[in-house]
Amino acid sequence: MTLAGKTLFVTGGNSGIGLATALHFAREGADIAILARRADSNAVAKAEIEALGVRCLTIDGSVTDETAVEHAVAATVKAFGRIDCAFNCAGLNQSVTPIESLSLEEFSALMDVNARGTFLSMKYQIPAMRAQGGGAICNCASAAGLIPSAFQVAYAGAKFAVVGLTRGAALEAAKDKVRVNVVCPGATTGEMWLQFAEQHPDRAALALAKHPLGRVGDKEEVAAAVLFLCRDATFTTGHALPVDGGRTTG
Amino acid sequence: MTGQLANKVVVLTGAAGGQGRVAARLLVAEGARVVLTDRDPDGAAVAEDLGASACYLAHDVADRDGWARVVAAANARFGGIDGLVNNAGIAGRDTVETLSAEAMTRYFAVNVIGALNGIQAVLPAMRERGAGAIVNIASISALRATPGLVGYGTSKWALRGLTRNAAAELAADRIRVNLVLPGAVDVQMIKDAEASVGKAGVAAQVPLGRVAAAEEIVRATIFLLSDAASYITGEELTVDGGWCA
Repeated sequence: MTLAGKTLFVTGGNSGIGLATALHFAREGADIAILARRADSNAVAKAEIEALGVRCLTIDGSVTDETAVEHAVAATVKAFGRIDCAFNCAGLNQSVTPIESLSLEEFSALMDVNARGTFLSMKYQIPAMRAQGGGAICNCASAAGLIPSAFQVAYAGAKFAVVGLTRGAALEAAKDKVRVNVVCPGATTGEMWLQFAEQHPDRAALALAKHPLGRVGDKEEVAAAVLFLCRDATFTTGHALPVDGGRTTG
Repeated sequence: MTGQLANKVVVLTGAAGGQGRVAARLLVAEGARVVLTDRDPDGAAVAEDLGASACYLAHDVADRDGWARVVAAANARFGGIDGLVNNAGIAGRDTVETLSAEAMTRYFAVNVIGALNGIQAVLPAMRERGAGAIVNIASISALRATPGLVGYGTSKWALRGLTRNAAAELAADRIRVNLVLPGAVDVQMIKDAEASVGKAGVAAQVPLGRVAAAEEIVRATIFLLSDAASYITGEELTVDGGWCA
């Protein structure tokens, strides 16, 4: 119980990697606040987290909605007194589409959830953490935020943006003792990859062949990396940590 | 024994140095049994302080034959090898104009070939186990130019290259190979720098506004050695207070 009395604020925390991370932190004793869409999923996640003996606050809303993000951060501080750690995990995957066929609507939606959502989350988390004397933010990009991806350029562009937002925010927030890092999962047993693998089995097999460890990562392995960055990596900030079975080693 | 490294056997080189002593202590605190090596016989006292979970061998990482003794000791004393930390290294100030071929060869002999020797030496034992984790200790000098440290810095770039290639090649054996890149740490090298530019001068270059405690570097090493990092290989983990953000 290394996080008793601490809190984690997690976006997209009612499923996949976000929920796995929420549960991982909860097993260490942290109280959990979730900002996510889908009230029914929030209720299920809340019950699962509270069963571990910690408090859980859920806020129904989208990370693309500035009012919702501002409210969620304020509600968490009000309920728990502080936000020690934040994991900005809400994300959206792209259809497999050549750039000339990709609609502006889909491009914008990918930028909205992945890049704008990360921006808005940090915009309100950093002042809250500064006010309490420090904190740790972990964003969620992707191996696709570090190396190129054909036919999913908007997703990759948005994830590259998440890495860039992270590094700049880390420099800005360091003086406030707020660390900002980003995990970059490869193929992982979150919803995004599982859905992709089901829809595009041939592409998924090709992608997996580029992961030297030769298997899909478990969402628990991403959760463990987020815990390391938030709890143990006290001198690491502005860092992009791949959890990708060696995918980005080239 | 509980801890992040419970039941793991780890070989740690350079264990008598400032960073190495802290690493040895924390590895054991996390449940590891450790084979400590160093050219400096003070390593014996480091091992003695840690009790039955540690043993020491006088050893120069650049000496290939010496590695056979290290592996034999790990097998005999602790029954195998799960982890290797290539922590031994030499540092020094040089300029491009004046660095001698002999000095450059020495940096490579210890900082690069020493690590290669270690990786090659532990491979059979790790394959026997069916998995392994290797952590090489570089420096943020492997990410950027560090004028005045050309020999040291270039050798750390090479160690970074070795790490990536070893990660890609050894993944099939479930052997993970990762790199830790410390920035300014509260050890002798930084004390020397502080003597020339002042303590505030060094800290002012670090976004977090301070130098690292040696423990903070070791926390990164422990994570990468542990099963918590089981899907991480070829990673270059900076522990630099945001210096290279």
